[in-house]
Amino acid sequence: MWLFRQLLRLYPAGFRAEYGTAIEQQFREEWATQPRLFLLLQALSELLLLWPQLTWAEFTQDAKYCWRTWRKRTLVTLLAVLSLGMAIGVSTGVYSVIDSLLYRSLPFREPDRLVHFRSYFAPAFEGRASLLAWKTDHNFLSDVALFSATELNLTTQSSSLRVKTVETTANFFTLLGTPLHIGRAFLPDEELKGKTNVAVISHGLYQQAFGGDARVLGQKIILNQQPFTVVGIAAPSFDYPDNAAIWLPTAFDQDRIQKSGVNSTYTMARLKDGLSFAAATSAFEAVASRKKNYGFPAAGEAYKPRMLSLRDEITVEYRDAVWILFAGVAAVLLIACANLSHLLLSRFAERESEFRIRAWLGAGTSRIHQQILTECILLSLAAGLIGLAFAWLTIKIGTHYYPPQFAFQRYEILEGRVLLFTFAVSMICGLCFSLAPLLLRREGRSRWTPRLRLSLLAVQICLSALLTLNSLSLGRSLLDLYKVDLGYKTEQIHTATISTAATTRSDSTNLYCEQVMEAIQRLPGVEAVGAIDFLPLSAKSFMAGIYKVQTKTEPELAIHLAITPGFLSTVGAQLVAGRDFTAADRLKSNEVAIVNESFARLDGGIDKILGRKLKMSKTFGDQGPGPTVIGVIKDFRFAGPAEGSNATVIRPFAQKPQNFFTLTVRSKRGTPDLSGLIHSTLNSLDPKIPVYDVLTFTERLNRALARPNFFSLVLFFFGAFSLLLTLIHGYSLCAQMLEQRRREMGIRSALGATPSELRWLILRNLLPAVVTGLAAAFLLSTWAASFLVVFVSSISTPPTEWRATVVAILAATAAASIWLKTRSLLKLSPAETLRAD
Amino acid sequence: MPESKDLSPLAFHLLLSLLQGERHGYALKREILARTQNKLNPGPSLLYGNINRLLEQGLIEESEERPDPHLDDQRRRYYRITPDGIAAAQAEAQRMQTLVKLAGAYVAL
Repeated sequence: MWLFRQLLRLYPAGFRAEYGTAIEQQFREEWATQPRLFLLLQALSELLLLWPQLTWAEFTQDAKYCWRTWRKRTLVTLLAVLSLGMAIGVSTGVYSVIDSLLYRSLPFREPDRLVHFRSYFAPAFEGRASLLAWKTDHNFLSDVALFSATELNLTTQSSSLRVKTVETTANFFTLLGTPLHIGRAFLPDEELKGKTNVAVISHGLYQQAFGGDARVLGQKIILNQQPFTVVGIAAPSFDYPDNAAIWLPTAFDQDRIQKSGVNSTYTMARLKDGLSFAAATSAFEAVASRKKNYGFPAAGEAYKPRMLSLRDEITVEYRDAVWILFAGVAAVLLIACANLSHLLLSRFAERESEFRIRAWLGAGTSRIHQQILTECILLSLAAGLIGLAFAWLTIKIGTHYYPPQFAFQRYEILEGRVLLFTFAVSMICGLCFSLAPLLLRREGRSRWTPRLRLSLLAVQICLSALLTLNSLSLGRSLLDLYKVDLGYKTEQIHTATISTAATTRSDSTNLYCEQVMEAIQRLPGVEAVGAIDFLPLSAKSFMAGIYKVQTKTEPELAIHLAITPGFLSTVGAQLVAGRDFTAADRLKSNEVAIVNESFARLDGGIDKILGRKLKMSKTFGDQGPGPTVIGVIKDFRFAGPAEGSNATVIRPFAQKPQNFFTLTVRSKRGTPDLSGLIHSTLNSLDPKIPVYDVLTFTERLNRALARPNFFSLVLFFFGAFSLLLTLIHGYSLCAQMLEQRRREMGIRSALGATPSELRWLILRNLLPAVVTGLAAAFLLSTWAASFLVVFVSSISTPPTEWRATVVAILAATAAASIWLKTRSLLKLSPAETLRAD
Repeated sequence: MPESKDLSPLAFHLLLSLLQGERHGYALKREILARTQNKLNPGPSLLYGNINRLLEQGLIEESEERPDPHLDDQRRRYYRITPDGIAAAQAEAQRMQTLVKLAGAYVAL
């Protein structure tokens, strides 16, 4: 019988309330006369048969009732659904970003067996035999591939494009295990010098440049003036690494193509079958500790050789950031739930008499609870549906400010896992905010209602104050970043990058650079012109040299830059000692250098370093005596305002010419935008020389700060939104309190209490919740701010007085809003109140 | 009035039993068992599930009258057939008759 009773409990509440007793009674009668096992099995099969029909029938009945009830309070319902929808939508959007960046399966065969090496060993520079020997040493690997990414000029019959190109070993596609869309991957011999004239192109390029015409297979394309035959087209979502558009098997034949800039070669590999990543890591560490000069001995721990799983390598940059964003979203979601909880508590309290009538008419407690639960879940499912629209908006903004690194990481909403997440969050929210009304409807617990409401308010205030405080900290740090002294100016400066690689000017870049500067200098509105090889704020890579310095026994790594005379004055870099380069510092004159303060400090100080020859380290072979220092400039931040300044050695462009440079042009104040004029002048000088990234220096600074900017904006939105929700909560709680205590207020007023005393009474009830929430936020804000370091590395814990001011402002706002709401007490007429009662 | 095709065999039997007069749930079951020589043996849940459905469709209704407490359990609930229920039972019987006639042209009855 016990088992049967449990089965009976599984029926929907309405059916149980109506027929439970009759069914049990009949079952008991049959229990005595019929085989018991048969009866139990029959009861089970009937439950399975009837449950869906009965549940659906009761659900539709509840849903219709819910629709009628909520329609009477359209505005309140709409506000509740919209605020929760917004919170669910933003969480779904952020989850979609997390899902696509961190969890979507990579378009490779058994991606968890792929590893990436971060080290500076040199098999790539010593050829194929060296790589094979390296692989033999690392016997836990089944295959190894090299790759380096660069940008090249692609010339087709109809156009010229600058495309991301990857130079790899021939086994690249087979190692990754990615099938091609059409055509074939590279053959093993095609990585040998003289046979490397084949290329695989991306599906995007195939569509964009060749109109999706499969006849491109077998056609020749020209990359930096070198011909290659297209043998394959990659799968549609494949653009690894670095959004590649073309792959060439030239890893051991890199000299074949003239290129601009520095291209690092990376190593990736596939682990042997059956070997775990942990076992492979210890095997790798054993090899690394056994070998001398494995890595970059001068550069310390940061450059220690490391083996990462390919997934970690792809996601390491933004994993923490998206999780913290998600925590912010979760806080907003909690606040929205607390708001709805409060709203529903009030709504169900108002409907208590209706529930009593229904109970008298025979509806059991569980039937009423089922109704409440259905209402809550329907409300949150509706919010979930609306949330999908907000989620779509969120991923649009996310794609704009935080674009995915690869095509296969495109943010999507209509994807199984993301939709499941939305559904689950909606259901959980529904259950969460139905919990309070359900629990408090139990006998004897209604006295907890005010306490629970005040606790909800305190939690809300704490969370929203934390979000606000953190968004303000982040915003403050961002503003500081804009104000930080970069060591150069970005205003009124235009920039354009020029590459002479594989052009008729590649051997005379310095001469071309001088011609360009002369032509630009003649333009109206131009005040100063200079050029540099790796422009601060924009260069993804740079050259470096290792120097022996006086203050350290270990050699020191320094950034190498090359500039033309006039560059320092164009960008406003300040010379603190010595002189700038002049036209006399040419290729065959004495080798000279300017260093920055950081380098000068390492090598004896500003006064002593002038006139001294720099000593290059012999780690990578004897490099001969270094250049003579002729000047010292103020420190500058090469990688951007969030990064510090590194020791830097600057050489004259004439003495260290590259086959590319970035032009910097300072315009006179009030001059209109010169970008178009600069572009046309450069094109008229030599139309075959590619010019790209014609941007103002300020635009480059904004690009460097785009992500911190985005995060500040998002957190500020979270803070403002949650604060708004909290104020609405506080305001409505106050309104409700006034309504409930109207009679008491009337009596107090009749007994001589002044309106101010009555207002103070209400304020005194609500203030503890406000104060507790804000105090908790004040204490937790330091801890919470420590997580924000992933957005802006220079962020500091907000000072106490600053936090206290923000908390005081929030407290004053809350008190003012409560005080404002209680102004109706001023008009309170005791006689009318008591008569109405 | 609902179409006769909505009636399950059990619902049809319930209507047939109620055509004889008011009955409570367990009595309905006993009558069905007797009429079908135990071939149709609904458990209590299925029985009341069908009663619930017939009530919702308006084919039966709950009777207010109760027998003498000495003769029967006061907690038992009695049901009676409505005019719609009678019409539905007739329509179902008609449908079956037509079906049997139709089948007679193909198989020996």
